[in-house]
Amino acid sequence: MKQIKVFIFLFILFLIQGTVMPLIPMNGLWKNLQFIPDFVLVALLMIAFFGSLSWGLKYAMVFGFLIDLTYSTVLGVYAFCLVLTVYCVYTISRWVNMNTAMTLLLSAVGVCFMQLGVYVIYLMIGLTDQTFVDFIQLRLLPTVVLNALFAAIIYLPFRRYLEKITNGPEN
Amino acid sequence: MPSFFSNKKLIILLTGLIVLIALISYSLKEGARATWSEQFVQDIVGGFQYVVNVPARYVAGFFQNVNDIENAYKENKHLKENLANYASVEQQNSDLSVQNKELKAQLKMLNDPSLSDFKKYSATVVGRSFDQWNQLVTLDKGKVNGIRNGMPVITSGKRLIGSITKTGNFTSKVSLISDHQNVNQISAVIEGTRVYGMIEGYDQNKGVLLFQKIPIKAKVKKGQVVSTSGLSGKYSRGLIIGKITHVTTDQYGLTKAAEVKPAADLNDLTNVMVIERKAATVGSGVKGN
Repeated sequence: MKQIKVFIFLFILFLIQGTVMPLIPMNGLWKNLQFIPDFVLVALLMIAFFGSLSWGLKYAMVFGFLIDLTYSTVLGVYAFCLVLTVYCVYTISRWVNMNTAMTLLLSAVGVCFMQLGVYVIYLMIGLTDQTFVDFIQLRLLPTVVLNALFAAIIYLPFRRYLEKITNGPEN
Repeated sequence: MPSFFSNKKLIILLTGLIVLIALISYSLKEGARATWSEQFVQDIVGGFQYVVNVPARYVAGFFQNVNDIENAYKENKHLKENLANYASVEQQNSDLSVQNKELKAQLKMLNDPSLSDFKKYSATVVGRSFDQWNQLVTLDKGKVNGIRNGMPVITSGKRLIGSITKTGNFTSKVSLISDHQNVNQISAVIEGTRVYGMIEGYDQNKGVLLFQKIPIKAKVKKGQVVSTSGLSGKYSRGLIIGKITHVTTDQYGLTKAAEVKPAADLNDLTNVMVIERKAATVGSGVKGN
């Protein structure tokens, strides 16, 4: 029952990425900068950190495929990168003490990792021809800022909720 | 301290890679056709997208309106200038269309649809891919509304924005002209001349389409309007693509190349029209004219 709430939350984030975010005219303010919302990834990382890794990976798989089916033409790229990112960043997180700053930092690392992974695969199959310098300057920095901001917003309530359901009597 | 990748995990990673490559090659090969499972997911997600989209657009529309009011004065002035010519152009237009009809009747061509005839279906954009590498938008109309793969999509003023790539039963996906996967070359012509060429790509940094294979002797100037020629299978004639911003020669110096700024604002799409051309298309199974 409690997992359903998490699923619905992720699904809403997934919808917001594709419907609400494109309506916000960020290009008008800073031309050429690309603000890419990776909200689902940020939420998945938190599920892996404060909930359980196995659920994080399962959701990563499901939502990766949903993103592939809905928002891209090539299957599997997002699914693979999401799962890999969640697993790798979770492994790093076990070596450090998880406080607010560390969570935000690791979310930023996760976003970088995921963007880089998708970029490399898309570059190989010819879906993009963005140069690496452009990718770093115009895309990666604004994207990390946007998603770190989002992570800061959901951090406290989402962490509390996740810790409650994993330590709760039902589990 | 846990090790990063144990043996078992390495095997899982490699299997994942193999599955990934298989899926990529499958979807690149499969191209436009959507399997039933894809259509199912697309339709379900499309439904939810529609629900989220309506209030979001309402709010966005409010801010848009405020913006519009600011621009109204300038626009009004500009339109008034154009209005002076309008009556004479309209008169000329009706004269010419009557004449055209008579001439066609004399040639017994009246029943053949011309390359520029089309049927319109209106649709609303409900979603858009958030990474800017994929330039796909989702529409709220699908197969049951008569939309098929490969139909061109335009916004107001017959400005081309892309073509349908995947159709579900109730939703469909449009690959915009700025998409890299939109490998379908568009046969284009410079308006008012008979200079033909091909639109063959998109430069994301400059935001321009690459208009290539223009004959070297053709007179191409900055500011000329480029539209579809109707000669390729998909696009009907006279859909406006954009304005030429820069002219060069191609890398071998054999043909001219130009950069074309899209006429439609591809970042701000709300209501679009899907069009079906009436002239038989190549490969549609109907004998050509």
